[in-house]
Amino acid sequence: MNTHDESMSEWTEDDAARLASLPRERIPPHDLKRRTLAAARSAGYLRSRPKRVGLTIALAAAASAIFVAGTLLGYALARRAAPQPKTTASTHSDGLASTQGFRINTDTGRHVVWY
Amino acid sequence: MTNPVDPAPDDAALVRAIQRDGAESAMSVLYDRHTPRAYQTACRILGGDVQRAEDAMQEAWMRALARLDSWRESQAFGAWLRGIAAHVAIDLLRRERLLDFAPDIDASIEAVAEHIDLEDAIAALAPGYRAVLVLHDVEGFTHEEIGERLGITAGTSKGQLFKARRAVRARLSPEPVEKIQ
Repeated sequence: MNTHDESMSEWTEDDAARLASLPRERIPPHDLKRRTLAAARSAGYLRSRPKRVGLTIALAAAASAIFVAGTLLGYALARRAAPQPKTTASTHSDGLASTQGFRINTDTGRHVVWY
Repeated sequence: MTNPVDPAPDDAALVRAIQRDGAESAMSVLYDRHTPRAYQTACRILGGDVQRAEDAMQEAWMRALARLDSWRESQAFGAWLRGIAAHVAIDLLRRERLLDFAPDIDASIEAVAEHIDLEDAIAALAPGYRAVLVLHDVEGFTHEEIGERLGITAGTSKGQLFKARRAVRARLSPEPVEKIQ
């Protein structure tokens, strides 16, 4: 662009001065900005608050990972602490129970306590 | 005046933020910084029709965003955007078949008794003449650039400008002037 074209001399001095004094800017209506930004968003040129959305997703993923890790750890510890099943001769209490027609529960199933 | 603690980011940084992150905040700053000038250009080319100028300005931004890669940092972003806005405004006139550069088009403005200002005189020109005069005398485009945008030769642009100026001067002059053909 060239604002000093020699053919500008075709204007009279007054006219050239008037031309130079024309306002170079015009304030557009505020609504135009809102419409333009909305159009740019829907066309995919802009993303609103990209960092905040990313941060939320990252925090949710981290919280889920911590929860799953804690669950697995608790499960493993509970399993390790559980008593081994008895395969040797019956104990005194077993014998006593059988003579009395009762059966003592010797089930060695896991008992996980959740807090 | 620039705040030394929090300097306003330059256009290149804002463009990169839009390209990289689609940063709306960067777009907002660019919009506020450059839209008033480009909007004025579109408005003048469209003869002061603010409604169509708004449509042109929105379309200009969409085109600018679509081709941000083609903007070079060595080029002033505002001038680049103004060029696009002018192009969109010219496209609007062309779509409405208002652009005509045939040599027999009357460049004159209907005679009025009272003195009018320059802005009105420009707005009253036929659209093709108005576009050439605004692009050359107000926006500073060369005839070659105007020819490229309007699809005419540089020589035709010069001829149109000559007639447009005479028409505007006639309109501004208090004395009766001969009709320009």
